[in-house]
Amino acid sequence: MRLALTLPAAALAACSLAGLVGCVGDSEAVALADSGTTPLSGSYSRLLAVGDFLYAVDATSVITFDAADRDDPVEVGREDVGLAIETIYHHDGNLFIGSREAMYTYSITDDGTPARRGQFDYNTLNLPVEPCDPVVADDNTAYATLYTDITNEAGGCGRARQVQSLVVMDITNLEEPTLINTYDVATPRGLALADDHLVVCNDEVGFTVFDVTDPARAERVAFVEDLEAWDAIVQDDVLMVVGTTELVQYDISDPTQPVELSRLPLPRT
Amino acid sequence: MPYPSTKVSSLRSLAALAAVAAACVVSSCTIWTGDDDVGDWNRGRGWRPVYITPEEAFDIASEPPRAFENTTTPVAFGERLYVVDRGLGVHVIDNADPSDPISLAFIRVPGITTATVTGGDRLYVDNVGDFVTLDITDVLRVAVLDRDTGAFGPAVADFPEGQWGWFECVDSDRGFVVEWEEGVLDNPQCRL
Repeated sequence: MRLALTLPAAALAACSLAGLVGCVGDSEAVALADSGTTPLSGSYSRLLAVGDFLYAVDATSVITFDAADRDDPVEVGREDVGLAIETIYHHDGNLFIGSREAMYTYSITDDGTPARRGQFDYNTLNLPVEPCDPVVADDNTAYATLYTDITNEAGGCGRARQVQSLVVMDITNLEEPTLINTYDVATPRGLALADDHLVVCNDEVGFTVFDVTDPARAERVAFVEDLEAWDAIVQDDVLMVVGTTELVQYDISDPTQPVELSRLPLPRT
Repeated sequence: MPYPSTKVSSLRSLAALAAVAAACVVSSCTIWTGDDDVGDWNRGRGWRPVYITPEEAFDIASEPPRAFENTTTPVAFGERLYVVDRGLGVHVIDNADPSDPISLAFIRVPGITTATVTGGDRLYVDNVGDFVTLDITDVLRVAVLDRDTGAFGPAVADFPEGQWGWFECVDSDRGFVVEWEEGVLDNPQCRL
């Protein structure tokens, strides 16, 4: 059965896959990740699997592959997005594409290809340089970390130029994402959502957990320091953090108190 | 707080040169003393591409589990975790028990930046700009099923992104560019 991802179809498909009888497909989409049929990807991904389709971003475009035959994906769409595209994230039938210039919003159509909805331009934030930006989103809000730290310009004499921010955007209207707030965050990298909490990786200094029940007033509720954090994903109550040389996992059933579960490779004693 | 932007784009005037020289007394940087004609430069710091040959690039294979060197992003599916080690490959981890994860294998994919998985037995990766489908039914014996040449586009540009100044021009006869490194250049011909 092919899965072109529209909201009612997703709900019904997920319900039937989870073996629930008498599932009424209401308008609320079921998170496919919970049923283990869709991979859960970190915010730095450039490639995603959603139903029977694969979505990839190169430097300028979003590419759609029909992978109904999983051994032989076929390119069925390629669309210009913008410049310096870096990341792609999926939530509930919508794609959020991060670039150095903007966050772009797309919706997956009935034939599996994405249709452009809108964008949020970072130049509205008056940044001195173009940042790298992974993006995550839930139903109403998108979060991007913007980070550039050019301190050594080969062949020139430049001063350090820094952008280190968490940008929070309202996406209730995908055609026109608007700014909710920005927050200074130390060396921000990847992000992961866990219901009302947001995990932001802070590169060499660890990671921060924010309570984003009110995205306009995000509150730091935890800061874990003894690791390097580049990107992360949350699956059920487990936070998986990837740093340059290790994977560290935490129990975040209480997100204000992450409890370390394991490290891989095993720490040297 | 972001610093104001001060891009020094040309060193033609002596006044600019003097100002820059003063600034450079306190910070360590290199002043180009020639004019802008390409070829007048001798040596100086800049960026150069790091190549791998096609033979090296297409050598996708399973290896025993190994240390993480440059891991960037995870993908979870079922009880497994796949961790991308940028430029190198994918670590496959049995994460049925997150308090006791077990590294099962390392799948070498030169130049990789991203990956995803379906069904637990198909791994999709970028490999020097190609889009490759892998059979990971047996993670210790990965098999290449399909390759879409050029479908992904290069992950690494033909110039050092985000940098300024001289760089060594890319010579595609030398292979695929997998990263850029800083170093001392001899008569660089390209510039941002």
